[in-house]
Amino acid sequence: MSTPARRRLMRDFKRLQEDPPAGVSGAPTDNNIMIWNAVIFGPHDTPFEDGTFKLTIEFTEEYPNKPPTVRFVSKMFHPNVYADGGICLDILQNRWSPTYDVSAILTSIQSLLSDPNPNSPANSMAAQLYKENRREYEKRVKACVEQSWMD
Amino acid sequence: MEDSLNFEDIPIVWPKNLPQLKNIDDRLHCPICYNYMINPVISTACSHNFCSRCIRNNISLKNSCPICFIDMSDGMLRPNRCLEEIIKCFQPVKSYILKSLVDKIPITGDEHLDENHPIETTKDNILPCSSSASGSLLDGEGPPKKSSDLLVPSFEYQLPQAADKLDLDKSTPATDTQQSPMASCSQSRKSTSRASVHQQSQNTTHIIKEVPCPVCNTYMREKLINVHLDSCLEKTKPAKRKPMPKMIYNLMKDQELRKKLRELGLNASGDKTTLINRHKKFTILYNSECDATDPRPVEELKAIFEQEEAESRRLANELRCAPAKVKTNDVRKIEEENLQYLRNNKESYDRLINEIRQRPTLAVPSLRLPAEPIPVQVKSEPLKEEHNSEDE
Repeated sequence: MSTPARRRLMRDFKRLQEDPPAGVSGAPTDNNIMIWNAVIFGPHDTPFEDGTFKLTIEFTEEYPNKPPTVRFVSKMFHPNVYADGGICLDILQNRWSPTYDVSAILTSIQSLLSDPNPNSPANSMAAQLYKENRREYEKRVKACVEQSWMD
Repeated sequence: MEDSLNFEDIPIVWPKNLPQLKNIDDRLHCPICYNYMINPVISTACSHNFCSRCIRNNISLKNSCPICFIDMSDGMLRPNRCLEEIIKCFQPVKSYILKSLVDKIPITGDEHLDENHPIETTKDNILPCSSSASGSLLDGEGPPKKSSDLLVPSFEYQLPQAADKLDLDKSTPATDTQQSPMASCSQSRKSTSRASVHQQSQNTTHIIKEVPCPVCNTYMREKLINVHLDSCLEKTKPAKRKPMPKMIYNLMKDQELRKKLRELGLNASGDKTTLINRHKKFTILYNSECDATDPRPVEELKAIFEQEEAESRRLANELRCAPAKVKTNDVRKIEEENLQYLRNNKESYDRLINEIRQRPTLAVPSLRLPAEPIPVQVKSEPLKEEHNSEDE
C-alpha cells in the first residue's frame, strides 16, 4: 500500500519526465522516493550561466499539503541562499500551495537565480555586493559556477 | 522503488493538434492530488474544484484556496454533481477516444462501450495501430452489452412497477383531475403498463386480498399498502449523511477526546496530539464522504482509515530507525557533509545533468501552467539567522 504523498510524487516524476522545463531536472533517489536529487542549470544571461547546481528535495508524508525542504548541495553565492544551502523563497514557506509540483519548485528556484531579492537577505554579504558592487558579486558567483562543475 | 506507478488515469499524450482535449482532461483532474477528482466539490468563494478529501485536508492546515489564495472554509464547499458525472462518463471512453484518434478510425457510434469494462489505458494499446476494423476495437475487452440493453435507461424497470402497484390499491379509480403525482406518472406510461386493466379487475372483486409491497415484497392487505409503502419508501431512501461538526480540540480534555473516538468506534489510545490528529483526519474522511452521491458505509470508512493509519505508523517507524541527522550550524561541517553527499550521489547527479544536455537544444519552455515559474516574492524577513561568516 502506498500513501497519498508517495502517489503524488510518482505523478510529479512522471510529469517532470514527460514535460521537462528547460534547464532543470530531478529524480527520486534510488532507495527513497521521499528524497529527490535535482539539478538546475544557471539561467542564460546571468552570472550563474553554465553552472550545474545540485540540490536535494526532502518531502514529508504531508506533501503536497506541506512544502518540501529544498537545499542546494553545491556551494552557492546568492542573496537568498543560506550558508547551509537552504533557500529563502516565499513559495517554499508561507506562499506554498498544494497545487505546485516539483517542476514548479525547480523553475521557481531557477528564476530566483536570475532575480535575487537583496531586501530580504539570507546571505548579507551577497546581498550587499549585489546592491553595491556588482562586479565583485559576479566574480564570487563565477567562482561558484566553476566549483559546480567539479562537484 | 517500492511504489509502482498506476498508469490508469495518467494523462496520456493527447494529439497536439487538439489541445482542447487535453484541456478537458486536465480540468477533470484534482489540482492537489493530480488524479481524477473523487467526490468533486466546488468552492462557492471562487468556483475552483477539488477532490472533497484533498481540499478538506488542505483547509485543515490553511484557510485559503490553493489556486487563487482567496479565503475559504469547508462550509463553502458544495458537491459538484455535474463535474462528477462528466468524470464518470469521460474516464471509460477516454482511452477509446485516444485510440480512435491515433488509429484514425471515425467514431461511428455503433460501438457501445461497457462502462463496467473500460478499456485499459496503457501506452501499449494506444500507440500501435493494431486493428483497422472498428468492430475489433473491443476485442478481448469483454463483450459489449447488446445495444437494446443500453438504450433502455435502468429507471424504466423500477418506476412503472411501483406506480402500477400504487394504482392497484386505490379503492376508487382515480379521476384525471385528482391524480397523485405518482399516479399521473403511471398514466403517462400507460402504453407500457397495463395498470388500468388491473384496476378494473381489482375493483370487481371485494374479497380481502393481499398484495405484495413493490419495495420489500411483504404481502399485506390492500387497504394497508399505501401507508406501508410510504414508510417503506422512506426507509429505503438513504438519508443524506450529515457532516461531523468541528471540534475545538484545545478546549477538550484527553478523556473527552478518548470518549469521542470510542463513540466513533476508533482506537482511543495514544497521547493528546495523536488523539487530536486521529479525530481530525477521520472527520475529514467522513465529511468528504458526505459529499458523495452514494456514501460508503461508515464501517468501510473506518476500515480504510485504520489501514491508512497503520501504514503511516509503519513508515514513521522506518524513519525512526534511520539515523537522525545532526543539525549543525558549523559552516565547515555543513560543507564537508555536502561534499560527502555529492560524492555519494555523483552517479545520480551526472545522470540528471546528461538528461538535461541530451534534450533538444531548442526546447522552448513548455506553456503548461504548473511548470511555469511562480511569481517569486522573497519573504520580507529572513527565517533563519544569517550565516555569512564564511564570506569573510
